Amino acid sequence: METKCLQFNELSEHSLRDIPLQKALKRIYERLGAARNRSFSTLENAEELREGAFQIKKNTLERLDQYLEKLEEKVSDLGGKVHWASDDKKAREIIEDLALDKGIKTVVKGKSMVSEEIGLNKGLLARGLDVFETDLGEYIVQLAGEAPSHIVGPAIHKTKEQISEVFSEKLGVERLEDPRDMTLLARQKLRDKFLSAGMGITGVNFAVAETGTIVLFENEGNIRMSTALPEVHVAIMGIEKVVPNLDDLGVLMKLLVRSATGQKMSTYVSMINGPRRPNEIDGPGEFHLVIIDNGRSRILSDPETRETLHCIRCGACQNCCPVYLKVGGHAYGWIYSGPIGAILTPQIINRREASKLPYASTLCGACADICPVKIDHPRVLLALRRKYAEDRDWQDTSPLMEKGILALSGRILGARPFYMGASAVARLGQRLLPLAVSTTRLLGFKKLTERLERIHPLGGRSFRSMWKELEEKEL
Amino acid sequence: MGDRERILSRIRRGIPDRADQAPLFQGRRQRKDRVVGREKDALLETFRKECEQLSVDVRVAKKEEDLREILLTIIEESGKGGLVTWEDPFGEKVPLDQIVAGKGVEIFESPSNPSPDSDARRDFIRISSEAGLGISSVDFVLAGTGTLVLKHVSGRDRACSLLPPVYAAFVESGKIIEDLDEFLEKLQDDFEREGRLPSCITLISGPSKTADIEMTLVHGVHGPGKVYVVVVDY
Repeated sequence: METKCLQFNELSEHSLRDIPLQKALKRIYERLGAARNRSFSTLENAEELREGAFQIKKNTLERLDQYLEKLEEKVSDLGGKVHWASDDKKAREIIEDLALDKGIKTVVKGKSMVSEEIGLNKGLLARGLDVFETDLGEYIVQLAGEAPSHIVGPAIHKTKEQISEVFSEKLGVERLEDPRDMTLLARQKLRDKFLSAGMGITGVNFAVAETGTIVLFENEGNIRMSTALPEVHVAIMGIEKVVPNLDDLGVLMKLLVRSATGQKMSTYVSMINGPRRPNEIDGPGEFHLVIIDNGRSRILSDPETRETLHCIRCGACQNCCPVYLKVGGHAYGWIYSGPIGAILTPQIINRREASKLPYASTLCGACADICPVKIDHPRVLLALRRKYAEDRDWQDTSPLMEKGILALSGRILGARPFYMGASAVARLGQRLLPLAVSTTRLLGFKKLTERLERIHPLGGRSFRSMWKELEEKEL
Repeated sequence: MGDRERILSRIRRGIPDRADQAPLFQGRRQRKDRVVGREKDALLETFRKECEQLSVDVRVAKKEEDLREILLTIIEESGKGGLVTWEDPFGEKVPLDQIVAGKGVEIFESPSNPSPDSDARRDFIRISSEAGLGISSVDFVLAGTGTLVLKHVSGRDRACSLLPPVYAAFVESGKIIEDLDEFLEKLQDDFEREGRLPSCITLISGPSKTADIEMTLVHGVHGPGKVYVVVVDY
């Protein structure tokens, strides 16, 4: 998994100077944030629902293996095939092999965060398949060669002028000005793909264990197309997407839709129970469900951070986060951004790479207040910060070295003569800094060069000596 | 060890102190705030309000003449392209063939006993994609959210409410129920009775829409951009 999480600071600085992005982020806050709040105000029992959702998620996670086995049994009974993948590589292999075995050439895709997580498109393309994202926002970022910047609005960071340029360049059409015309163009271009694709790939919003039902939410109709027209439908899910029964689904459904877009109900909800049956004219002849772990069982095993797996990917925490709303999604360096990215990414990818993300928060707690499944992000963030500071498995530097450094600093800062001595040595030593930088650069030590460049040199004189001089002048 | 066993055993190891005794599936929740037993007219009123919010065009037919008129208007407004519909979607109440007879509109019905070869499927999908109007009945209407519920079984395809640019749903007024909770309860009853649910159930609330370009709302991105609901109230 390629990430840029270590460059959080640099990417953030870049975002702060990106004026269209800043406008888009303001729009997210004003529109999506407000829409969510309006729709919750029409719920009489919102708090009860959130508490209910928390309990459903908590109880389901505690017996996750049993619910997954039940789900597998029911989906199989319905004629579907269930696959299991420990990691991203295995998941890609399963899906790529499926497509190639069946001689499929074109794949249409509905928006799915887990497909981004496992790098599915790249894998399919590398094996010679044509893959088309069909959610308008995803289609735009795919054409632009970018990554989604928001869970619900993948292309939310782009202006209509930028999108018009992408369309004109990649699709060979005239520049369009009206979002309506651009949308219509995408409809035409993608309709052909839906009609010719051999495989539709979607994510899963909820998988109901008792009935074997896969539930998908959308507004555009592209997921319905992907699940009704191609001969093969592959649905992919993280292990945490299972819910026990239809009753639980009802609770989570109401919260998801309101939290994501402020609607009472998504335009389309598809409840899929296996492949089409005899005498049905549409729907896929084959249904495959790929259940993916990719680090989730490790999160599950840690009671301190387990609730990260409650997340239903609504994006509400992004829409209210003062950090996300300034730096945008791309600054987080990987596909999950905002408060959920700050807690999820370090637990999925290489820990050292994501070490900055738990600090990308003011701990204001707006995310925890808004979260429909009551994830306490600040508590999890603090737990992760503590792990990075104290836990040997999480640390960048060895604890022994850190202890040594701190002990030494304590001695130096604790006694004035030591401090004076050390600053004098540092002032002399830093004269060698430019030489050190150019030498390491010449030798090609990129990381070391960057580190040295980031050292702020000490001033020529100490405050104390300046003060002393001023006092003497006054006299 | 395969991936399946590896994942399941990792999960089991991860939660060592759980209580396994409780049944996997709890009974249904009794919601205190549930509204029950409202009159048909009250439900219809709620439904109309929700549809207005969703830009859905609701027409009510009080007698067969109304229905004929409404249907012809919809066909007129949707530009007289081909018409795709479910097999015998409304029984005797809506004699579709008779109503459009002589109007130059070609009706294509979803076959309930389709030929199993893939060409038949492809042709069906192509015809649906080229049609100007899709018409179906519905299994339920959820008043509280303006939602149409379609259970897809033989003769009741997925394409006609999805592929044409205009979609019209015919709703018998007795099919209007309160909300999602009531629907999911009925679905649970179905499941307990039949042992399985239909291959696909679709909930439709308004026209296809997107706000992916600068959060500007645009209707009709992939599915129908225009949705009519005709309430058959006689």
